Amino acid sequence: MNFLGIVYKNILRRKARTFLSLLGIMIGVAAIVTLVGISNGLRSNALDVMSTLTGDITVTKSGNILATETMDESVMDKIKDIKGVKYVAPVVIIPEKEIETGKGIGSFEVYGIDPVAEKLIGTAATEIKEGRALEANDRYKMIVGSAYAKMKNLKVGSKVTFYDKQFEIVGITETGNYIMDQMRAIPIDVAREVARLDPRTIHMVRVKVEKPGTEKEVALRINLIVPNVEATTSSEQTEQISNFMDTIRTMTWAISAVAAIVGGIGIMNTMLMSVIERTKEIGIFKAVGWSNTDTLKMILLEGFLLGFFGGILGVIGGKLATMIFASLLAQFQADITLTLVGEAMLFAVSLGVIGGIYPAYRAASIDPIEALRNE
Amino acid sequence: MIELIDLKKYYRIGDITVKALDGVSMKIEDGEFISIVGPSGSGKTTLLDQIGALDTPTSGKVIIDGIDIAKIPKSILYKLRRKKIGFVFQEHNLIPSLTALENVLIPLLPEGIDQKKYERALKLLEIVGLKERALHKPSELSGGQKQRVAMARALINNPKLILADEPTGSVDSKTGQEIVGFLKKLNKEFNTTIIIVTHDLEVAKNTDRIIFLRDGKIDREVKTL
Repeated sequence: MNFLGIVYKNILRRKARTFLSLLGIMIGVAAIVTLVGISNGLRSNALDVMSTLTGDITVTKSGNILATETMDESVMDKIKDIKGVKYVAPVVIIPEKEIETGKGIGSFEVYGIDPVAEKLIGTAATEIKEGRALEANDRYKMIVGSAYAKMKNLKVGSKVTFYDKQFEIVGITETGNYIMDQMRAIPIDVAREVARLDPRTIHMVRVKVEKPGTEKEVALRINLIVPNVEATTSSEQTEQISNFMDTIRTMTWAISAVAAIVGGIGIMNTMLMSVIERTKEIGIFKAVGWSNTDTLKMILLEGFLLGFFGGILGVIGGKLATMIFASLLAQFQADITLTLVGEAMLFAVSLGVIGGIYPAYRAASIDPIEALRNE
Repeated sequence: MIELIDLKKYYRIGDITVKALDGVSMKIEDGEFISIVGPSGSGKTTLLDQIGALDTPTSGKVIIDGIDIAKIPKSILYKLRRKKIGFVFQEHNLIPSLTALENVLIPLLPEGIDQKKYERALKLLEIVGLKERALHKPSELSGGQKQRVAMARALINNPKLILADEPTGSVDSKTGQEIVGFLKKLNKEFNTTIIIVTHDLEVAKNTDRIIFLRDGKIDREVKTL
């Protein structure tokens, strides 16, 4: 037996109580690992592919980067004439409306696209996994992303009702990006018809530049020449997404940290109780020659071990939770990095040690004479 | 040698001052086996706490091997207890979750335990006749056996001084005699200074000198030899 051995025996003495305090830390750490892992996963997923599949530049109405307001198709002609622009593709975004498939209801937005222009630019809508892409003469045809298809159990040839019309799924796309693989698209003119939009309405223009590396320059030109529009390069978009994801990550950390801190208070409570119960024992240790520091070390080490084991259980729990998520959502990936595991473990251990400080101080302050007479 | 000079320990309980020790002076030579006898509240345990550096006096001095223990900073007083003094308490005061062997090793834990120390602990358990019980927990031992484990623990650091507070207080008279016999053997064989507190004159008769305490003062002293 060594010093660690006695510490280990101490925490195993009240198994149920130790288990409950471990559970507190575990839930907190599992929340950190799961939520931050998911936000990491979304982030890398979003940033990996999005920039290459939305065109080099996206043009929306000025001050309306989310493309909720409409523009006239004439904007496209103006953009097309600008130096450095190779192709343009119009996009209509249909306001959300339920898609009834008989297998549940979707509530994501649907794109109206120009099949020919999309092909020229090479967007997510052209990454066909099964079936085919939309073609120029298609009417009530739809392509869907693989994640959406899996979620709704759709196949090539399935029929879905959208705005009271029946659409046939002709193709399933797959980009490897979870968000983009939720996409659905129909021909742009049909989209305008069903949503009762003006035949010249567009929400967004995707632009491909002639020479890679000139995106910023061309976007600047569009902004200067075409009135009332806002051109954003995909790298700028990536940056905006990245900032947004950072905010999400910070928030998930904060929320799960609160859970973990509650677990830490549980540890403090457990250890305080345990120190009070062991007052006499601690008195004996001191009477036979333990220093205050030895006593302090013993209790802090107990806190450390509780935090450490709680952390390990939490990391395992978090990993399991993300695996469950992944099995429920197609192509979903949580990104549990070694850094995240390290951060979560450090957090758990710190909580254990910090939770142990006050109980350890109490133990170190025990007067052996009084303790020995304590019944 | 241990020397006590006009040792006083007063406690205040509300408005009343309790004189637990009221001017005790005495000398204890190395290798002496003495007993402190007196009725409840006479200051026996308080005196033992003072000699064992567990408590500080209100006034007066405790000098162990020429060192006034009041001059040792409180923060390092534990070293004196660890290196020079072995305690045997009235109740065995063993840790219930540890085995007999582990209980014997407690004083050494902070310094780390090597094979040599391990073997010494086993040897001590053999000396007190409990080698076969080394891996038993206190709940599996009788009262006398527990007290013998506590004695082995007091001896683990090879102390020059053993302080025993009513070591026979919680065992039957036969076991009590065994314990006293063992202490006597220890005193003779290893020249360990032993001070025991007891209210049992039969036990005290086995020691070299009996000091009678009353109301915090030495009432009288009797040499038994």
